[in-house]
Amino acid sequence: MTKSKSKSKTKAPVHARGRRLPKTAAEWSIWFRRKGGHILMSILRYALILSIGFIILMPILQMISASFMSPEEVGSPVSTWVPSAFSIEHLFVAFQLLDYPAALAYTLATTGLQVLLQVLSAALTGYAFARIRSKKLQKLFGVVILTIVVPPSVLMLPQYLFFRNFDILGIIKLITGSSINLLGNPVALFLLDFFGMGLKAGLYIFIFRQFFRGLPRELEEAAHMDGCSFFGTLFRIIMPNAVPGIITVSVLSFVWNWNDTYYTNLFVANKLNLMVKLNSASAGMDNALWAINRKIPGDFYFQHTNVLYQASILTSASLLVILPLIVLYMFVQKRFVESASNAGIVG
Amino acid sequence: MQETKKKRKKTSDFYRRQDRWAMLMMTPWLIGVVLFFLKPLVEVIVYSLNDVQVTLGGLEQSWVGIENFKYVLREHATFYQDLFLTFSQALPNTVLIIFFSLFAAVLLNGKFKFRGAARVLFFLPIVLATDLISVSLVGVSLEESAGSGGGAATQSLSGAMMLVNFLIDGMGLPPSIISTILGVITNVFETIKLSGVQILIFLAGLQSVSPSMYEVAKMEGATAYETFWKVTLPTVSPLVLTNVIYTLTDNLMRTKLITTIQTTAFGSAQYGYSAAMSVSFLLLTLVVVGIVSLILGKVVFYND
Repeated sequence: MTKSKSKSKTKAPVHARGRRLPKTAAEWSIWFRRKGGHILMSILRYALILSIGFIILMPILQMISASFMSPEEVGSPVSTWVPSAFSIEHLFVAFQLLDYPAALAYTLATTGLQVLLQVLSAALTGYAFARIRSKKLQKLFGVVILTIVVPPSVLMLPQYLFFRNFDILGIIKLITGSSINLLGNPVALFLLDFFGMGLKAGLYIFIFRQFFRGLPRELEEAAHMDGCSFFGTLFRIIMPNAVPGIITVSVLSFVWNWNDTYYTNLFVANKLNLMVKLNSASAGMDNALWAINRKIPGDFYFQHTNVLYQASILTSASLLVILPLIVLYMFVQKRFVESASNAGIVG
Repeated sequence: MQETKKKRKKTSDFYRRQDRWAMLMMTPWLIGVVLFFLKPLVEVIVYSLNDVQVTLGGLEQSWVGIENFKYVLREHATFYQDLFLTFSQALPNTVLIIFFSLFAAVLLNGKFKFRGAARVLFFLPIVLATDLISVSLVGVSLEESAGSGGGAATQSLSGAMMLVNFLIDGMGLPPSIISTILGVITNVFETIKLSGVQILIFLAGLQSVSPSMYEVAKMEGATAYETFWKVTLPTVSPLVLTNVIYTLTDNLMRTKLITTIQTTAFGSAQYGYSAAMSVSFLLLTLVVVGIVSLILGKVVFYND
């Protein structure tokens, strides 16, 4: 607004003259009647966005603030947000507690493979549902909806028993004499993911089906006319067009698998998984902290039975666990926001 | 001449070939559905009607009929209340989340500066869809309440008390309404946290509304308010159905019933009871989702 004012002082170009600020009270009232609603709306909009944004960001900021606070300062009423003395002790102890580098590498690798399998199976199944002409098989899509609606916890017991005595039609028992126990083994999760029954797999199939239905069939037909093979069409025509859908599903799958505690607790009580580690640590902080006693330098505060100290360590550990997600989001946010709002979720 | 004939034959071949491949591509999923979905589903129903013991040789079952259900629903200490609580919380939460996410999507769909940044911010809860954040919040409030006196937790508590007093004294509202209002206020964070995907879906829907519709509405002299109710809402109404079902199931999956089911099975080895819990939870879920989608299905407006 100051801009337009300065413009009107110097010789304003013709198109800007209408936008100069009014001078008299009467002019103001006319101006406000014309523009007031608009301005009020945008003030309201920014106020809403800022306040909701603050609610979203607050817990993360709080976590960061608690992580960098020096242990002596925790609970002091003077510094609730910005610590007066920075310290990385909380983060260092949490780092040791989680055995961070090893656990991070392991969790990244397993989650990465899970995402790959889930995206592959969901894309193929979604494509098949979008393109198949048989009405009977199209009706099977109802089963996909059913897999979305049925809570996975309902199937907990049979699935648990299935993976405890894992066997493929009795073949493994025939060879080795006993079935394999796949509990505590990420292979159980990989199997679920590959066969399209992993975490929220129904939703991914749904997204891909809607997406592929939006792609015109003529595209594939033309490729076929030009002598492209089926898989040539799939990987050279369809998949490049499906990139927004793939990005959306990959991000969702990565995030949900990373944050999942249900499947990991049930099948992968593996000590290396970050989430499992955090959960077991928070269940018994006294012992967990005592176990890493020797790795902590002597000049640290380290009161491992202090409840406040434990809470701060837990907060720092949680921050470390979600840190990869924040980094990932920073890298993909632009593509994700674009593709997610354009991806064929709508159909 | 021969060339065109060949090509035409190829086209009709095309669909048949595509069908064959589609069948093949569907096979892993079909195997998965049978092996990891339908089979466990049948098994859990069978377990729920049996007394199940896990022995070294495998499972031992003896038929008990609906005894398990009777026990779980009538005699179990907490299950019935938890079941009721789960649904009575999930339904209002769903309504709140749907309204909030539609509102946020409309907000984000407008043209304004920093729109990209605002969208990035609003989708952040999807990425951080984790209980860790609430865990750490508990940690922080623990710190503050344990800390010396006036932490933020006590401050916000006294703030809430002041609000309650104000509402009771000043406006003469009945306590039940006040507790609902307070519930909504304290739930704000939870609601926003669970709304990410729904905002995404609504936003995608809003962007697919063709601009010519808005142009026509404007030409005909509709106000922004009328345009929203007569153009925007009908176009996104199929998504309301999608979103409601997604939100409802998502909410139901966060119930603490899961822990009860898990401990009953693996903690105290009462597999029959655990299965009966699972089945009653499942049946109620299917009934509620079915009723909700039937009602909404009547309201939804399909453009095609």
